[in-house]
Amino acid sequence: MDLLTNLAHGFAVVFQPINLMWSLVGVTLGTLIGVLPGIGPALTIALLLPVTTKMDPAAAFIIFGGVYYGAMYGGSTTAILINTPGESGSLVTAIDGNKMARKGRAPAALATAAIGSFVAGCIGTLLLAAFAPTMVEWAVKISPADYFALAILAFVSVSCLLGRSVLAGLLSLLMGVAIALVGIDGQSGQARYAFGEPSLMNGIGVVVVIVSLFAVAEALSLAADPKARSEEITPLKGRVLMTREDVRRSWKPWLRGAAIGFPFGALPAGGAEIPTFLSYSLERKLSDHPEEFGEGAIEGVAGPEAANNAAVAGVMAPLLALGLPTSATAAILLAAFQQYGLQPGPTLFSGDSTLVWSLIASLLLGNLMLLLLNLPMAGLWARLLYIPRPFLYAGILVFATLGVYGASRSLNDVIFMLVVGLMGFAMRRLDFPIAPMVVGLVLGPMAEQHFRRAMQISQDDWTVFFTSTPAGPLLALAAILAIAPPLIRRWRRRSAQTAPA
Amino acid sequence: MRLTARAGAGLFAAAVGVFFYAYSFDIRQPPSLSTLSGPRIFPQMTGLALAALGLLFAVNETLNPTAFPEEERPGPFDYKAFGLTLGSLVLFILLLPRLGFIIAETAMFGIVAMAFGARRPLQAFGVGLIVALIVYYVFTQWLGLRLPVGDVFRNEPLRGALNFFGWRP
Repeated sequence: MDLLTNLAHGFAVVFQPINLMWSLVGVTLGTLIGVLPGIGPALTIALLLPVTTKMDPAAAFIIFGGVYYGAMYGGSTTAILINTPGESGSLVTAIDGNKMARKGRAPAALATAAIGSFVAGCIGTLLLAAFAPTMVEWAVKISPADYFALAILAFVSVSCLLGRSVLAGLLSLLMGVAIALVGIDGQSGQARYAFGEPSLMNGIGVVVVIVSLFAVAEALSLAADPKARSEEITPLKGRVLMTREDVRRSWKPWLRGAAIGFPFGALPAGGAEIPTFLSYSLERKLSDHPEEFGEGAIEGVAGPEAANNAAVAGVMAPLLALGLPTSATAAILLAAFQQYGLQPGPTLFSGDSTLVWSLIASLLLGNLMLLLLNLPMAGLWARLLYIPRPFLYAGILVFATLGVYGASRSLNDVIFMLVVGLMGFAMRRLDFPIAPMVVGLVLGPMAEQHFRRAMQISQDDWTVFFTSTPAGPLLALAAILAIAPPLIRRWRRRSAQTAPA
Repeated sequence: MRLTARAGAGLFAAAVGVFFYAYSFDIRQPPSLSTLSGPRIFPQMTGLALAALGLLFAVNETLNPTAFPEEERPGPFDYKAFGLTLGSLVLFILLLPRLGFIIAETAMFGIVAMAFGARRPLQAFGVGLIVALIVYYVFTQWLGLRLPVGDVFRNEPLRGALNFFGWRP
């Protein structure tokens, strides 16, 4: 059994006392920061990047793995107790979770979310361990043209699946691609869009952009909108426990959520939002109490929360095996790998396989630690929600400036932060999705690299993208994804007009 | 039919696209690489796509404006809080090289806290100072990050005076 030997190698690294400690540090920091409203997993990792620059890669990735899962657990606490989901994956959790909390059922909601996350996280991570090597085997066989087509498919699906307008998503994505063009071109050594400015030669850092978009833009939009600042914290009373009845109603949604979440995350066209919505509507259909949905049904928390965590494990599969980020958080993890000079993809599995397997092992261990950390101590985490908001947002900006300045010790980066932050503010205010921009920023340069390599191989024959497989079918799928939703919407509108219900 | 802010954003994106396309000709094309594998092709594709989709979006928004659903629409614009938060970041950029990390962060923290409704200025700036001091010492002493002390403190007489009181910036 290759899988077991590989996992055993991973656990051998993770169980070293110092790494156990880093894992604990990671999950604690992740939960701590994830609970704070307005901070999701992507920003948490971006802020921690400068701190880990001097660590060895294995320790840093054990921390990031812990932070990633920890921020997810913390985020569901925020979603349930104050109805402000920190990231789009817990949007659905907030619907019934917050209703349950208002009815005094907060402990049961938190417990089903935590245990569901644990169950789905374990299943998802084991599936990741089982499928990633197969994906790698496939990945070594694909050509640069196929890779470019995959990147385009990821681009289109990230833009289409989030937000209300495909075009708005694509514009956000292309802006990210454009920002990444600034600086020295790695393949030819030519300066692009630097205008002789030395600080532009090195390009605009991914950390700078992410911190600007998620911290600065968030603070500016909350400052501008007093309505968004008003919130109501539902107090958490009693121990976080489930009754026998709660468990009976939760265990099937956990398993179904995990089954829906993982494949969606693992597809190069993935993301964590769709499976949470699917799980919610499936549970409503299967439930004996469909009338409770929207009013605090425990299945409506258990299923989507499990789907969310399984999808997050799934997203790691294309990230590790293909180097293809399909969410904002995956994009920042990819940037973290690159900071250590590591390029996720097939070569990472063959070259640094110990690192990959210790990351996967640390995800499993982190999951267990989180369960032990969250069930008895939920009350403690919930108390973090009572940090006075003026100090919370001032503190977020302190850590944002520290993260941006500390990474490069350059004041120019702080100025970029302000400019990109203002752009992010405008995007939030005008309802443009942010995640496609982050994916474009990180995946853009990789798409370019593969495009140009494909052109070199085919000697400038661009029809190779349409004539070779799987590149051609993948591009066709991307085109359908981009064009179909507006057409379907138009068709629905028309049929609604002709047959008013 | 009028130009909405979202349509304006589409025009902005289109302008950025035109800019990227126009300045792509400033990139030197190395003779060893063909046009399709050189450094210009991808910026040009990106620029053209931005220009075309930005324009399409602007037209689309003008004909059928998409708006927030009622419950998600932002409330009235709070210019004072927004201005203070933005101003505190500008002030941070100005103060960091001159007065150093601790003072710049304290000022920013205090102003942002006031913008978000802190009532007691002394408390807001006091908490800011404590946070800045903790962050400064943890990051410089434990994590080996170098943070600016401030040009003002490089002034010899002042440095002498501070040393006299036991502070060695």
